[in-house]
Amino acid sequence: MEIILNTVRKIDNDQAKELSFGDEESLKEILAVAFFNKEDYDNLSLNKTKSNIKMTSQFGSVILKPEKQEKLPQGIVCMPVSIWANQLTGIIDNELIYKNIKVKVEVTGDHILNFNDMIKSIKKNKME
Amino acid sequence: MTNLIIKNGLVFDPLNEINGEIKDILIENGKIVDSFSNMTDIKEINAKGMTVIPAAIDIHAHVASQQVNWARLLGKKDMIFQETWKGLTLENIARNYVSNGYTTIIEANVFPSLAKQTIFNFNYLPVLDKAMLLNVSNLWPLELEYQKAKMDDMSIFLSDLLKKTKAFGFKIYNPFESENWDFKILREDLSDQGRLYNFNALNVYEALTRCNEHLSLPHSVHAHIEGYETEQGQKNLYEVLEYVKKLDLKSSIRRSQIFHLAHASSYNVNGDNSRLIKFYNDNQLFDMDLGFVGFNKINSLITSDRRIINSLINTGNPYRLIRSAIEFEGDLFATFRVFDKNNERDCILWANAIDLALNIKNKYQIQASINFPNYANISDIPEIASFLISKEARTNYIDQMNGAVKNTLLLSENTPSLSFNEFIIITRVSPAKSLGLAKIKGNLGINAEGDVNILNINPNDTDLNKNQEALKRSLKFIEFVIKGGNIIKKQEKIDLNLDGRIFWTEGHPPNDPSGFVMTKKKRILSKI
Amino acid sequence: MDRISCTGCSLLCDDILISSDGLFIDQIIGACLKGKERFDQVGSKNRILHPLMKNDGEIGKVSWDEAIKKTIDLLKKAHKPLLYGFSNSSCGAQVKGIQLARKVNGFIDSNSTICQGKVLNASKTSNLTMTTLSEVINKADVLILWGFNAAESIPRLLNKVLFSRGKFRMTGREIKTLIIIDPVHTASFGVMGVRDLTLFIEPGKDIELIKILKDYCCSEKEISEMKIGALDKDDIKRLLLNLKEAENSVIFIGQGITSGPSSEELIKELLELIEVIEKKQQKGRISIMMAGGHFNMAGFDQISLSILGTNQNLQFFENRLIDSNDTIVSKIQKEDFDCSIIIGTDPISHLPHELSKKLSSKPIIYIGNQHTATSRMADVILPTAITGIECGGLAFRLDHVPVELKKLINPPETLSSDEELLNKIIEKLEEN
Repeated sequence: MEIILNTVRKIDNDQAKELSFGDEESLKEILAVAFFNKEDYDNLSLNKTKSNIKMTSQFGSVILKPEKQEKLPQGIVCMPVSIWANQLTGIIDNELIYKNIKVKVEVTGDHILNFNDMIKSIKKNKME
Repeated sequence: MTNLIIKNGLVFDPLNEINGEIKDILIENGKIVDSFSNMTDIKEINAKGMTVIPAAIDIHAHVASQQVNWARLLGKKDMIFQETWKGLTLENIARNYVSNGYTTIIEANVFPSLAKQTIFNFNYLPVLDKAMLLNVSNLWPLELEYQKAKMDDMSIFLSDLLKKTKAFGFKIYNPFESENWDFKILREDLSDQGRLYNFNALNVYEALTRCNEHLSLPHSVHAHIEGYETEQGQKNLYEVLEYVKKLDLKSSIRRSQIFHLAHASSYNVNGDNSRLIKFYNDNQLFDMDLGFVGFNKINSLITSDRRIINSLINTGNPYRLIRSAIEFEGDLFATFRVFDKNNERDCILWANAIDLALNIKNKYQIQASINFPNYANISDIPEIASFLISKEARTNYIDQMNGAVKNTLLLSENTPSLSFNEFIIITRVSPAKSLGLAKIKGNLGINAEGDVNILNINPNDTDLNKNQEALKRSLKFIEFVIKGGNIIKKQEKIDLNLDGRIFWTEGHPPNDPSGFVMTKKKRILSKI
Repeated sequence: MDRISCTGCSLLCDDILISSDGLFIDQIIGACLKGKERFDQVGSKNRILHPLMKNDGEIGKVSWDEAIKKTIDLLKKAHKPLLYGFSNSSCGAQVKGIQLARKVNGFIDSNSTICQGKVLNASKTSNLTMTTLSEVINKADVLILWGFNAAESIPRLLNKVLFSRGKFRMTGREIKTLIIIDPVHTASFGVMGVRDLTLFIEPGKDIELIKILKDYCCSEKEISEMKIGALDKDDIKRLLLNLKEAENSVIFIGQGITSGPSSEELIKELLELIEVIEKKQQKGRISIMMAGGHFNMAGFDQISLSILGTNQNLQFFENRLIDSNDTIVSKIQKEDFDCSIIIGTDPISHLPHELSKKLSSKPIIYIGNQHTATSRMADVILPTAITGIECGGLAFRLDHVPVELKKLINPPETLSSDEELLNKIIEKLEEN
């Protein structure tokens, strides 16, 4: 599925708050998510073995938990601003692009990286 | 603190009636003394053949308010602006002022809500002593007081505001013009009642002038007249002056006048200053700062006057404009403009300042200013001095202007120029007196602060009218600038590692024993 | 109870009531969720209470002397350090940051440069008409949230400007029209009323909408039948009418405008639209307000303008500010730096991963009060007091109005403010 990604501020999905008051589990649960409109969510065709999604933009990819959100228009997926979201954001002509990013969505059984592993993967990628 | 003796200089100290006398100046613990109590550690400057005068004071400048930041933003990538104004940074401003002999500066227009920023910036403006004037002419909590000139209530509130903002005095600036502009109306008559308020602009001029005296503030009320640089401004000027004159107020003991007119050059756009000159010659209770124009490559226009901004827009000013409505207290604008020697109106502005300086008889009613950075750069002062003192310099300069312009200038050929002494008065003594600071600034009397300039010139030996270059050179390359006995400039070397002070006052408010007035005002403020 | 300003976001609400004994905060009244979370940071489990340093890949507690020494060593070795953040620090700390950058030939910038600073930058080609909160409270009758989810980024803003009864808006909410332009139905839509207008614009179609508005503002033609970015012709007409006829309208510019592709062009077009409408208005005003998030983002712009005459992309060399075409983005992208000082922000989480990878590949000195992804990558971590709670200072609200922050309680032992810490680093550098 091809869809447009917007990273957004969500008061209940706030990485700084989760770091202060949550734990690794809640961080992953609350931030490593992508919100879809009902129709788009249904079209993902999730199943028991493939309940996560891999989202890929021109800048990178990340494994996330898909969720439904009411009143989201079809064709737009929202992610709360976080270290997961920024695996998909990038730079065009010296400008940081956080919104209106074309992404590809596939279902997957792969695991979602937790916060620590996400940090490690950033370092590891660089060293490669 | 350094103890300093300046020996054998030719002293000009008009306040103390010293007019070119060879005299030593002694400074101990920052103040001028007639003898040292302790003879150790005294630095000595041999000022033989040189002139010793008090340091200069700029009574109307824009350096540390938010508006100036918007000018800095507009100019940050503009090569000409950077070259002329060096980014207009606080440090460069201080360097420029010190280099030209100044030790005290007044920030002329600060909105109460933005005062904290000015205080913060003041702390990063090295060396100079400074104070700010609070723009209180658009304050809604004073609606009733503007209407009924209720002095006690107004004084209690404004004294508290002065204390909280650490301000020095009041600025009147186009009362409630921002509210008029909400209806896209430019006010044509200062006696028009407001649409949303039950008083007029003249009532505000009156209320604040009275309140200033009621509080016995050191400086008189400092007024900008609406519509400067336009015909409307010229009309408004006389309306306000006559109105304030009719109030028949007495001055407080600290100073001689009750009303200060800002950048007086900017109102008589037809070049005819005769009415203004006569008014000032007949009314000693008024003073003015002049607003000399410098014809710089580019000038900022940092203002709160809607009419001038509109007129610039309508004449196709190519520069960007930043404007903001500030917390129910008025509007601010920042843009750029270029003064042009081929432009009649610009030349008239230039001539007006000189005309007023030469023709107002009591030099204690005038103070030199350049409306920094709007009209000129402080480094233009030496040339400005030559225009005031040397008829030849004046005439040569006018000759550079184009024919049509030259002919409109009404500067009289026969008006005597200023003497050197009078130049010292308008740049040093008169501002100190106007600010109520004459005990400590603008003079070299006992107990005055040791703020001194030493110039490499002898006015008794040099014909300043003919030898303008010598005069200009002596002011451009001041040998020593001293502040509180500390040498802050010695030839080319400038030392900015000294803190200046912030002058502020709460005046003498009447009692408010039960706190009734402030409680009432807090209730009004909480609704705004 | 004491009255205090909150540093949860750039609204800097100054009507928060706090009771405390100087050591702990007992009660907080009036703060929103973000504000409350800010106050809760004092005792959060994520709080950094000791200096930390990486040794053999492991982060461990060290003394202040060791941590400062390591900081100085890293800075001395560095030829091109980056200094970034500062939007969660007081103005005093921002000045110290600039002084430090000058000392170490550093490149310094704040979060503003990638956020509301873009609108300020637009002043090189467009006029800026701004306004401040009291003006909005007392006069505004049309409020437009453009790409701005106020409810979740500056929660009490709508409280203050939409629901308030100002001097000339005594009828309050009922007299005000709220217009939200956003591709997504955000929480801010929850306050919509009968007179209000929602425009679900397709992502990336804002420029088209603005161009149509500009066109039809000046002419009397009918807007053509075509849909623009999924918007109804009637909705566009209503928007235009509201803009032209408002007595005082304010457009809040959010991340939807500053963070998408072609944001510079979009901002320019929007500012031109405002000029066009202003000329057309028979009465009234139209202004913008920039909705930056961090509590002192506007502060860095203001103080750097006063002190340096410029506000972004500040490159120092041999004690002077020099011309630079670089931005914080290009510096990191080109890896044109050899060390970074990150203060009060979490770029490893908040920058695109291309930049966070590169940032993490060089030594990081982290100054802050909470652990973040950046602190976990840092070589040395210097904890500081929370500004606005454990230390005071000056800050600037989103509308560039200065607010004095107070110290309410003491910081944890041995912790000083950002300003004091930066000053200490400068002094140590001068000593050596």
